[in-house]
Amino acid sequence: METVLPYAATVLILVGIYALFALGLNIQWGFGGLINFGHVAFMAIGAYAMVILNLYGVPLALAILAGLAIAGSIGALLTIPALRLRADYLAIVTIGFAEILRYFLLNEGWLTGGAGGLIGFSLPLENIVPAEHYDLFLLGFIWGALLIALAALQRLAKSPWGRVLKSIREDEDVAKVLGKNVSSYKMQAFLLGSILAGFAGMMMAFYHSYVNPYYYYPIETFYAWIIVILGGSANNRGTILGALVLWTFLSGTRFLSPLVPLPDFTFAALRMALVGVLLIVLMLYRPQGILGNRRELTF
Amino acid sequence: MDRLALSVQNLTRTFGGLRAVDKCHLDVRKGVIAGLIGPNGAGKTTLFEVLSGLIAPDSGRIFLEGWEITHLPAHKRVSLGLGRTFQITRSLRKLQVLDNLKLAAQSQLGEDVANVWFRPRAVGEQEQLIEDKAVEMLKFLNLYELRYEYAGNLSGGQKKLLEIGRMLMLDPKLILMDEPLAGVNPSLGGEINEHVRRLKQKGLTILIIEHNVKSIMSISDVVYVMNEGKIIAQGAPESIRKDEKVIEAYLGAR
Repeated sequence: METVLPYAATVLILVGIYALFALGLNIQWGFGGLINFGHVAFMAIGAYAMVILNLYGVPLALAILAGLAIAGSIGALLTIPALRLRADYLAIVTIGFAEILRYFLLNEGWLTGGAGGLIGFSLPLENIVPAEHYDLFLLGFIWGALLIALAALQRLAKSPWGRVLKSIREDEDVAKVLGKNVSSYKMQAFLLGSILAGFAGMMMAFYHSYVNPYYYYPIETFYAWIIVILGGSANNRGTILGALVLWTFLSGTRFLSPLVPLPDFTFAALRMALVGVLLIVLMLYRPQGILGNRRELTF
Repeated sequence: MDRLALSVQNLTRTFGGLRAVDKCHLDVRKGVIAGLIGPNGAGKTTLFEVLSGLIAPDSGRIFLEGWEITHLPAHKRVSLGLGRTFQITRSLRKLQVLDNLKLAAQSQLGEDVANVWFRPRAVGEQEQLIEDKAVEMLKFLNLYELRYEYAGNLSGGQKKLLEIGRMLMLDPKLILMDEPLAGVNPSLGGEINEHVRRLKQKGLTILIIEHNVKSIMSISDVVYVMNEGKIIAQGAPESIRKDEKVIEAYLGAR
């Protein structure tokens, strides 16, 4: 797989994957106001479930569907203990869950390959697509999926379903006395969001043809948060734009490394610090994000 | 029993050592306007919270038109015909006025993800009907001109009206109103009372918490007086006015 591919394609693959990932968070946080600090867990569950099933001989298409179902249902189940909790505690439950899962992946080597990760699973259409063009194929596949997800989510955003989610975001009790089954909507938001995260995780696994526990540090969750806030909460197009801005910035500044008299590690940290500064400036002058609606700003 | 819109039996709710609602009994007949008065801290709002399902009772039972609702979640009580407003208005400030009302319509096809994706036409048609109903409600409440305004931008009185409209979109049978006249100017107060009378004519039962004694006495068919978590007196407004216990606990000597 020693292919030279245009740098832009690599960046756009990452943009697509993180846009899908962040769209999942946007359902939960942007529309539903639910604080999920463990979003990365569902990326890991989707990827690992698909890879493990495939390595045990399940055909890839089935393994993908099963992986999405597993990620979605674990996401929905996680809301059950969290239903009785107010917003901040949901954040604690989710971040705790994601860390427990990461340690599980690291330590249960019999199932997950441990720190070495898993390799050798099938890739979609790998026998048909020439290896030298595989990344381009993946790029098309990911962006195709992204556009379908965007269309589906846009329809939800403008629907009565989206209206109920926005009402929960603002005042749960009002939603309840207007006859809305708030727990069920929270569960649905986690189900859909976790399916999207699971799908993004699978795409990442295909892109690397490899999974290992080190892909799933909490920072991945916070990339999704940065993307959603940057693009504008509760705005699906904004989320895609946010992913584009973040990854263009992170990838573009990598080129500057030789020009800056700093060790690579220090420079990488500096780039993240700049993202932080960017967010602070954004909050000061445009708290609703690039495409968000200021009048619907809820924090 | 079937002539009762609401029956509360032996209801208790404590917060730590405080018995906010204490073995409370309350029966409200169908089709009346009932006033609920009492000093601050008597437990009136807590009673409403328990009735609407936002706070669970410690013990006791609640019946809505003969159906026991004691352990039903709030949203199921709504589908059985219970509507309420809040003491301090809780309009959804980040939604437009029209959307506040449309949200409240019950049994919406478009609240189901599968329908939104696979039956967009049916969802759209129902949404149009809901919008027509919401527009009619806004005209009735004189809020039509403000329909695309964010609810957060409305005045206090307009928010009160919006909240009443939103509750009526539920097609409730029994409505609980928590101080509908608080912070409202006299002419708007008269307007709200007029709406309440019209709801009674339509056959609804209305239970109102109010501190404006003159207003509540004039509008109510029956008045309940609550003190220290219990109903200490009930009856027609004239008899309540003369009740010694009520004068001592709430009305004060004149």
